[in-house]
Amino acid sequence: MNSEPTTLLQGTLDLLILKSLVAGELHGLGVSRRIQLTTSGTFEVKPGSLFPALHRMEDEGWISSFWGDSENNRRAKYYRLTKAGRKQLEAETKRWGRISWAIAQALEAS
Amino acid sequence: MPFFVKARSFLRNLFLFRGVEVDLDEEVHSHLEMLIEENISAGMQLKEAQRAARMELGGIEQVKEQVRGERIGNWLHSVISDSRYGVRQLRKNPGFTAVAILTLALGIGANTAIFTLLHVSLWRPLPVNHPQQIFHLLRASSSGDSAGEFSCSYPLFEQFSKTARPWGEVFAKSESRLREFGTDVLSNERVAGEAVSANFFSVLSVDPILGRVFEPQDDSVVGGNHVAVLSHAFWMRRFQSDASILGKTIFYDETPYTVVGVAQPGFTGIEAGISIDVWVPLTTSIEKKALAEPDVNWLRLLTRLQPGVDPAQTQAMLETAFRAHVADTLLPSASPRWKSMLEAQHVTLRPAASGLATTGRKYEKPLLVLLGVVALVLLISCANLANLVLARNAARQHEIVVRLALGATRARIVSQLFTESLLIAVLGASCGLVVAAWGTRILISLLPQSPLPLAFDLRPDFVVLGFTAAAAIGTSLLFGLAPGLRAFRARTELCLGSGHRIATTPFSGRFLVAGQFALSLPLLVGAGLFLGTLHNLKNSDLGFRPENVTTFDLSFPKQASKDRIRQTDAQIKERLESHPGVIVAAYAWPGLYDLGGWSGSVEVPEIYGDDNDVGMISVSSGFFESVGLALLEGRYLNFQDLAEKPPVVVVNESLARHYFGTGSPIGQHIKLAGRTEPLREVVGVVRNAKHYGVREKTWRMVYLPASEGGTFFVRSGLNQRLLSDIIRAEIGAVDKVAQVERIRPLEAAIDDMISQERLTAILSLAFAVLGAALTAIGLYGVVAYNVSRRTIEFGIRMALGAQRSDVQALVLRQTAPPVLAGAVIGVAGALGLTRALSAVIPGMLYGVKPTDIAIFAGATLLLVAIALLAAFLPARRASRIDPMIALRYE
Repeated sequence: MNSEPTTLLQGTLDLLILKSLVAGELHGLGVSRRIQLTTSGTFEVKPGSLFPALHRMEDEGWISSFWGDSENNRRAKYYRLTKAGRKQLEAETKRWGRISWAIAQALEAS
Repeated sequence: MPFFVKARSFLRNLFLFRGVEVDLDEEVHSHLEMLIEENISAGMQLKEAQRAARMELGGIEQVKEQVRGERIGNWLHSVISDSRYGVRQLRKNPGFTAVAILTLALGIGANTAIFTLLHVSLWRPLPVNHPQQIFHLLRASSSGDSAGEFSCSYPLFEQFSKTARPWGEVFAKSESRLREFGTDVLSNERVAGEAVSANFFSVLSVDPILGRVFEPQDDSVVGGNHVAVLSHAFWMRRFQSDASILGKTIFYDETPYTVVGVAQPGFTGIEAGISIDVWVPLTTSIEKKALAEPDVNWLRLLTRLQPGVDPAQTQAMLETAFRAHVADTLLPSASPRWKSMLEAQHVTLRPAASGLATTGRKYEKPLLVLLGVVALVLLISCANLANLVLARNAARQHEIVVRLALGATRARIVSQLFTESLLIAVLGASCGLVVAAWGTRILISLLPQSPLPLAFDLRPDFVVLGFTAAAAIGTSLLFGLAPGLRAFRARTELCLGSGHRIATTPFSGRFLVAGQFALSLPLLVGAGLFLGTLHNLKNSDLGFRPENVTTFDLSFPKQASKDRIRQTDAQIKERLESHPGVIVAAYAWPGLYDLGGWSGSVEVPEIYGDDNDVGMISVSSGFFESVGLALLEGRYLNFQDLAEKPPVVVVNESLARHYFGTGSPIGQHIKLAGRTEPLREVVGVVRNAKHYGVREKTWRMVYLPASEGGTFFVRSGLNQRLLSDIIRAEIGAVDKVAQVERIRPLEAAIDDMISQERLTAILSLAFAVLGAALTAIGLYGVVAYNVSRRTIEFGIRMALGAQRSDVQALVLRQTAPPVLAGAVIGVAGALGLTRALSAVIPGMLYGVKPTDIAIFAGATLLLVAIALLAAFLPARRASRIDPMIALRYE
């Protein structure tokens, strides 16, 4: 099932993007594909949501960008996590954990 | 640190918009290409791959729009919410907000006022096309006694015009003066007018709003074409913008002229501060004989160079032409002294994009120094504000910590706190503009207002507004950033539970205090030095006694005969003296205390020497008595001496010593240079007096008998008002056409000569006091705050047996280090500053050394005393703490 992550909290998309960059640098398409992969196809991040998010996160200082060569020797803009970004990822992960635990509790209550 | 990264990216987006756009475009395109490649390697054909890729992308422009929109949206959103929150916070603390805004209004206002004065008098370009092409054709000499700028003659103007022709056009103007004006022959109005060459308006590219401006034929007709151009401001004021003035006759300087045009609005001449009402052609304002005289110097020349022309080359050409003119026309008939002066003169092209700027250049140095002074005062107030903000932030620590726990990023909190500071700065700067408008007018009123009243266009323009905005941003960075960064480092785990106020470390408070003291000390020292200079100048012995002397200028219409002038002068003197209360009246030419002196050289029979320059003043009888110039030997000049049987002269000490040594010069003879000059007998020797300025050396002086004079001196014990009325009445009774001007005490006239130093001294004192007051307030605030934090500690101490005086001593002792550190740094800084300044600006001080020990010591002691006083009050409050109450507060 394909759903647009933009219907969820903005923080969730940020979380997914940050996580996708943990293993290393990726360009825009690479981030999108990685999210698709790691969520087993549940989330397909369209460029219309991806680019605004990437640029916003770069403005916040969580990721930084540079131009490099892609697999087919094509110029592409790559992104990598910054130190602040790693901290943000940690914080967001914890927060997600608390929220999802809380919701799970609420759903289990009779 | 995210805050700075955020700021950097914001600035990047703002200023490198183009680059960011291109970058985004490339990125989206590259994404599309990669999608196409993916599809192809998945097996699609090219066309199909492209189509699928485009569908997935969703349109290149749309994607870019979304990025842009998000960016702007984010930014706007945070600015708006920060501002709203900031305004709410400021309204919750009206005391803090009011003090902050007031402090900034005063500080920024003072800076803007001085900047405005510099801008309107010196820096602002003329409202003409390409003002950078305009140059002042300056004839000046920089050697010794004859240093200064000189006017040019009409033949020289013609010569320069010819020489400069392909490279630039030369235009000329006469001195601006107040002259009679009227719509009929009997007129009593005065306007500011000047005579200009016919190409004046065309070279400056000033267009008429009505009628026409001068054309070449207005100047070429012998005797000139009697046409006049009015300024727009004058036309509005005097003729209510009535277009029917065109073609009418007006009387200017008692001559009829036809009004042919009104100049464009906004143009008031090329001298900032002088607003010209009427222009007439050069050739109409002087006798034909004098026009062709190479020795009659009455014009100031300017030129507009063609684009691309090298000023240095043009200057060299003009210099050559000048030297040729001097050699051919001037030298042959010049006296030896004048010859040497001519040889020392040069022609330079000085950039005049802001016009002649005479007032501006005269006050440039003091104003720049004062700009530095107010900048220091502003820094001091920023330190105060920073302290205030720190204290307020500390009080809000609780709130900040809660917000952090709720998920706000540090960056957001810092930027929100900074926005509050920015709000204060913007409000303070706006009020500062009002303060500045008022301050600029006060500054201008401190400048001498003669011979023409100063009239600057003080409407706010973008430059001044830009300066104020820059000051606002600068100060908000200074006092808002540091406290903001402190909040940035706030620790989340502190104090969520208890309601304690969290203490900021006292370190930063003391650091700011030390800084304020370091800044205040140079201000006090500077004020002391300038006051000392002013005091020395005012009290320096001029050689005569100006107290109780009133002076006025008397002028006659051009047609008045010499006999009439003589008669009138003599009668006025007689009638004034006949009043009880008037001790003596006299007149003289050129004046008593006049920078434009009359000089020549003498020859003494059988005594030869190289240096024979003397200053000359022609005086009526009673002159020496009226100005209080003491007689050393012989007698004063009297009425009989006018008959020149025999011709006599009075000299001063300096001349007597120079030629006659210790012997008496009475009875000796000297002769003034000039073929028809007789031998004159010396009948008296008077004290040396400074006729050419307080700082000038004393000249050797020759006093000749005069039958007429332009300046009167009246010594009396009467009240100034009464005397003014008497003077006007007597003059009116004697001769109705004589015009009296500038009736004022001689002391006031002398004060005008030291107006620069007076301005500097008064203002530097005012600002030093302001700076010291701000520093005292700052110290008081810091100490009071620290005391209030340590209430419990003091309570415990006193409960354990400490005396009141012990607690006071404790507080004062802890205040000492930053104060002393600040004072030491301040002294070092002041020493360096004053020495550097007096090297860069020689002549700012008079009679005081830049390292005057008394002033430095006095300033330091004063500052320490202020510190003690400011710290004592909170210290006393600390000692009054009731231990029981303090401990209960826990």
